[in-house]
Amino acid sequence: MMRRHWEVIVVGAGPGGSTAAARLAEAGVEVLLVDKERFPREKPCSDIYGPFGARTYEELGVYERLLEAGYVYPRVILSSPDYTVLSGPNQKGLTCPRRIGDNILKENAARLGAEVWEECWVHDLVVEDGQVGGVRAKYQGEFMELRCKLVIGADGSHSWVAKRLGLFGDDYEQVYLAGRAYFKGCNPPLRDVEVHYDPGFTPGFVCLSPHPHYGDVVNMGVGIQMKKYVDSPLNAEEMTARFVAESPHGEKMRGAVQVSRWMGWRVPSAGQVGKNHAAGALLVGDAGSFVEPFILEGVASAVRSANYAARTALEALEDGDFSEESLARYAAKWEAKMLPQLKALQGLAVTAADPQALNAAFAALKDDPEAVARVFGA
Amino acid sequence: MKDASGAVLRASLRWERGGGGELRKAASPRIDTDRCISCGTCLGACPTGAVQEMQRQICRLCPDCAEGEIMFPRDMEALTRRSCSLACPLGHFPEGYLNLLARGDWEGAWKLISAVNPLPGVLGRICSRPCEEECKRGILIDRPMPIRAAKREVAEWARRSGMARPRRYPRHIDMRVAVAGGGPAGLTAACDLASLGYRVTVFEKGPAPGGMLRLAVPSFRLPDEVWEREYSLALGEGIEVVYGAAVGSSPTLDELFTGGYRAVILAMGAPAGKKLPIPGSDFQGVYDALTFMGAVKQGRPVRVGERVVVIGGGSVATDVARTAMRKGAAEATLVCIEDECSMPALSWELEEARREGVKVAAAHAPLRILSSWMQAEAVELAGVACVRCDDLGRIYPELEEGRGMTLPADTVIFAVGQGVDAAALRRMGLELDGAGRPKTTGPGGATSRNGVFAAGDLLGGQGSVVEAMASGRRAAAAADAFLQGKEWAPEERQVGSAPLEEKIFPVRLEKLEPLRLPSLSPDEALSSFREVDLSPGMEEVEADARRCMRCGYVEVDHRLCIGCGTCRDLCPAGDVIVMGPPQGLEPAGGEG
Repeated sequence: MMRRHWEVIVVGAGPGGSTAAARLAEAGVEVLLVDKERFPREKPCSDIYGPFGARTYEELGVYERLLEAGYVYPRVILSSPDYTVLSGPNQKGLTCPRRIGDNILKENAARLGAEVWEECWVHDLVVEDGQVGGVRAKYQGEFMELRCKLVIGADGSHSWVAKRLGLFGDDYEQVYLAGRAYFKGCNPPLRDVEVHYDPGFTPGFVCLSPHPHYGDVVNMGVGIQMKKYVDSPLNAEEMTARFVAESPHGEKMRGAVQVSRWMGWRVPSAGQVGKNHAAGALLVGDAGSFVEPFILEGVASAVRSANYAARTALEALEDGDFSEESLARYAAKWEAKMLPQLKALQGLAVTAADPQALNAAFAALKDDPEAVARVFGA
Repeated sequence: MKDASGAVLRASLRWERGGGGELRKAASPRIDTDRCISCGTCLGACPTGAVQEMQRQICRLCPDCAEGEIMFPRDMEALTRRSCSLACPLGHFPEGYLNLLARGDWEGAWKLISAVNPLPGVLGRICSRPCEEECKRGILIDRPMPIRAAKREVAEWARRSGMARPRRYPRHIDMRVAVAGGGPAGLTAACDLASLGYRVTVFEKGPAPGGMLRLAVPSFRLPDEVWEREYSLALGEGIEVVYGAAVGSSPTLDELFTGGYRAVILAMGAPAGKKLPIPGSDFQGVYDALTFMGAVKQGRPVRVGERVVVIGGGSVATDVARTAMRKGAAEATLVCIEDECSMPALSWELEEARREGVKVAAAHAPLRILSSWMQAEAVELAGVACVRCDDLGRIYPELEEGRGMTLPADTVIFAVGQGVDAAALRRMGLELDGAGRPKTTGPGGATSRNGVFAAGDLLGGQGSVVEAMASGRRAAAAADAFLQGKEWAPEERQVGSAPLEEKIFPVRLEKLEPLRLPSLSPDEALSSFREVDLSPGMEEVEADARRCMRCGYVEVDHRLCIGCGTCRDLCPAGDVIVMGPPQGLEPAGGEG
C-alpha cells in the first residue's frame, strides 16, 4: 500500500524543490518530493548554478559533487548594446549541464531522507475551506489523493500549483522567452560565462556558457522579453544566428556546429514576483517568479527561496499552524533577504529596454569593478 | 430541438419587479470555466443567444513543450478563432462527449451525440471528420483526438446497452411535409422536421432507404446492418416512408401539393453513374463506379479481372479499388489527373488503400481504352502537366509530352463523379443550372418553386455524408421557417478568444500516448468484406479521451442573458453553472 499521508509534499524536483525537500528531510520532516519527469532529465537553461546558491549546497553537503560534475568559470563577461565590455570575477558559481546537476541535487534530497516519486503527475490541489491539504496526482498509472499539511509548489515556470492558487503571473512585460542549444567548435575555446545585451533584442540577451568537461561544448542561448517577442520577426533560434553573424562577440561561434536541438522555456522574471504563499501552500523558484534572467540567477534564486520556504515550513510545523497568516512569515523572510537585490536587478531590466540607457550604465560601471562583482555575487 | 417558448415562459417567472415597477433579472449564471466541457448544450438551448463558445490559447512558444513547430504569439492567437465544434457542419461539440467519456459517462456522451445526429454509428465510421483536422492536439502536440472513433464506440455502446431506441416524434403541427429521397440528407431533414412536430413522409424511389449508404459505400467501411439499424431507429414510429415512389414522375410535385403536402424537400442525390467520353468506354469490362458498387453490394454478378484500373482520384475511387481487390483483382491502380498532393481523396483514404496494395498513377489522364474485340485490355494514358479550370468551373488536364504509358487492364472502372437525374428535375419544372442541378437561393436550398427546397448531393458539393446531412438540416430549417412565415438564416457562429489567463500550457497536461486505432491486417481485410476498422475498446477510448486539452468553454453575455436558468438546468457536466446575483441588469435590447 502506497503511503498517502505526509507532512510536506514538494511538487517539482528541480533545484528549488530538491533544496526544500533536502532541508526538511534533514530536519526530520516526513517529506514527499514528486516530479513529473524521470531523472536525469533535460532542462532548457543556460546551465549556470550561480554563486548565491553555493552556501546552501555546502550546508547540504552536495557542493563537492557539483564541483566534480561542473566547472567553475573564472569570470563573467558582459557586453552592452554598443559592445562595451565589463567583467567580474567568480569564485563559487559553476556551470553544469542541468541534466547532471539537477540529478545530483535530487539524489541528495533522497540521501537526506526525502521520499522521491518520479513520473508523478500532479494535476490538482486538495483544497478544503480555502486550506490546501494535499495534491491529486497520477503515479504508476493510478490516480490518487495525497494528503499533507503543507504543499511547496516548486513546479517551475508553468507552475500548476501557482495557477491553482490564483498566484500565476503571465505579464508579458515581465516574462521572458528563452531558448538554448549546444554547440561544438567555439574558437578560441570558451572559458568564461558571457552575457551579451545585443542591440538586436532589447530587452534581451545572448548567453554563452562553457562546459570544458563535456567535450568543450558551449551552451548558447537567448532570452527576450515576451512583449518584445510578440512583435519579433525572428524566432529565438534566428535571433541567435543573427548575433553570431553580426556581433563582434559572436565571432568565436561562427565556425561552431550545433550538436543538440533547440529547446526553450518561459522565464517568469522577478519583475512580477508577488505573493507566494496561501493557506497550506508556498511557492519557490520559477513557480514563484523568483528568476532574474538578466544575471542568470534562476537556479540560485530557486535555491534561496527554497531555503526560506523550508525554514517557514519548519516553524509552521512546530506551531501546527498552516494558515495564510502563519505562512506569511515566508514573505517576511524572502522579502528581507532577496527583494532588495531583485529590485535592483529590475532596475537593470528596465534600463535594458533602452539601449542608450544600458550603454550609459555600462559606461558608469566600467569605472566601478566592485559593483559588477557585487551584482554577480563574487 | 430547443423549446424556445417553454424556456421563455420559465424565464419570465424568474424575473422580478423592482421598486419602480420595472422588470429585473432575478439571477445570472456563473460558469466555472475550469470545469466547463464545452458540450454546446447551453449554447444551443439559450433562448436569447447569450452563450458563446470561447477558445483558449494553447501556448507553443517554447520548443520543448511538445514536438513540432514553435509558434509566435500571433499565430497562437489566430488558432483561438478555430475549434472542432466550429468545423462540424452538423453541430457536434466533440469536446463535450470526449470529456464525458474521459470520466466514464457513456450515457451522457450518447445523449449529446444523439441529440444532434440521427446516424451516429454511420458518421462514427465514414465521416470525413473535419473536426479532427481542427483538433489543436493534432495541430500542436501529437495526434488529433480520434473523435470519429469515439463516436463509433459510443454508438456501439448505445446499441449494446439498449440506449439506442426508436425516436419518438411529437405531432403537434398539423402540416405535412414531403421528403424526396431516403439518403442521409433526406433522412436528416425528415428527422428534424418530425422533431419539430410536422407530419413527414419520405418518398424513396428504390425498394429500401439509405441512398448512397446502400448503393455505394462498401460494407468493409460501413456494414449494412449498422445503417439499417440506425435508419429504423431514426425513422422511429413517426416518419412514414413510401417505397418505389419517384418524386417528379409519381407523385409529381403538383400531386404532392394538391395532396396536402405544404412543403417538399428534394434530396434525391446524384444517382447517375458517369463515364468519361473516351473511345472504348463502352467495351466489356468497363463500368461506372455506381453500377459496379451497386452490383457488388447487392450480390449481382460482376466480373472483375486480374488487372483493374480505376479512373478517378476521389474517395469513391479508393472505395472502388479496395472493393475490386476484394473481388479477386490481383492489381488495382488509381489513375487520376491530379498530382498526389492534390488528389481529392482524403489522405487517410489513400493510405488505407495503399496498405491494401492499391497503386496510384497520379497526374495521368486516360486517352482511350484498348481492346481485343470489345473486351477491355489496356488503358492508354497521357502525362498531365497541370489541371486547369474552365469558365464553367469544369476541370480539364493540360497534357505533357513524353510521360504517356499503357496500363494493361481487363477491368476499367470510372469513378469520376455522379450526375443528378436531370430528366426528373426537368419534369418538376424547376429552374436548373448549367450542370442540370436545381438553382437555389439562400443557404436553405430554396428552389425556384415556392415551398420546394433542395439538399444533399443534388446540389453538388464534395459528396461527404456529414455535409449532405448538414444540408438536409438546413433545408429542414428553411422549410420550417417558410411554413411558419418566419425569416431564417443559419447561425453564423463565431468563437471568442479567451483571455490570456485561460491560456493552456501543454507542459502541465498529463502525458499520454495517442491511442492506436486497431484495424484488420491487409491480408485479413482483403479476404472478406468484414469491417476493416476495429473497436479499440471502451477503456482505451476513455483513457485516450483524457488527451483532450479542453480548448473550449462557454461564457455568458450578461447583456443578452435574461436569467432564465435554462443553461444551468440542462448542463450535463454537473454544477458547472450556478445562478448567482444578477449582472448586466439591462435586459436584451437595453443599453447594457
